[in-house]
Amino acid sequence: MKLKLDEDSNAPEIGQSESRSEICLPQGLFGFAEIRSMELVFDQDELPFMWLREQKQDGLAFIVLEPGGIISNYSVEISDADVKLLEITGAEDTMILNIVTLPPDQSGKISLNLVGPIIVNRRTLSGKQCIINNHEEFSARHVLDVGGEGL
Amino acid sequence: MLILSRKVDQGITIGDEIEISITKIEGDSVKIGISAPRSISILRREILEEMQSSNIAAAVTSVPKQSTLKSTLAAGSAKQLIAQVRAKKAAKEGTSQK
Repeated sequence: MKLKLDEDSNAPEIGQSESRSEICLPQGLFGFAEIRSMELVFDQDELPFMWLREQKQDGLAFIVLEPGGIISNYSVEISDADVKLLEITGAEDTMILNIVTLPPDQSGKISLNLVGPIIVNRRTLSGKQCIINNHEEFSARHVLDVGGEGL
Repeated sequence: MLILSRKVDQGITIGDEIEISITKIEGDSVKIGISAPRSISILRREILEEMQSSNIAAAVTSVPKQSTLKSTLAAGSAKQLIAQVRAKKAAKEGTSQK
């Protein structure tokens, strides 16, 4: 299934004005197979960046963002098996979260993993990190070029 | 692990639905043909390893107590992007009010 990116998707609507939602990750994440659920937390002032983190103290945490309107020319094709597993029906009920890697120093560039986004069903809040079918078109270390992106 | 010797144009079947054939051998490189149902994911191993190392590199160890990213997102480009998204949103709200 090819998912069209909503240009305004960086305004998450899960739980409406709520800033926290529990995302079930039944298969864990690559390199973190034991993870079963994480909390998606965001603050309006920090969008597009959001936290995806374990609910426990000192747990695992990632910074993620929805690529719509931020990464131009990005498209996501997910396998039939993943569409079925996540019970998604189209772009409306699908949230795409790309994991952000921060540079070790503040002047460095931020990179995004466009190859393995976390795909979440907005209705069931169940998700999976999927390697997209069209992964050869994109980089796992896409440098976020703020000036040049299609904003 | 089961190890089989195969020659060019020979194959292996796995279960009822998966067939692997050796199509070409050239130096140290082997071309492999795979027929499998679409529901089965077939990936080069390196890509899985890349996802694992990417996730490990992205994991944030020092999470601030509040839900704020501010201290973590000190990088200039992050601030710039936040500002751009805000400006875009403000501009949009401005137009919708007209």
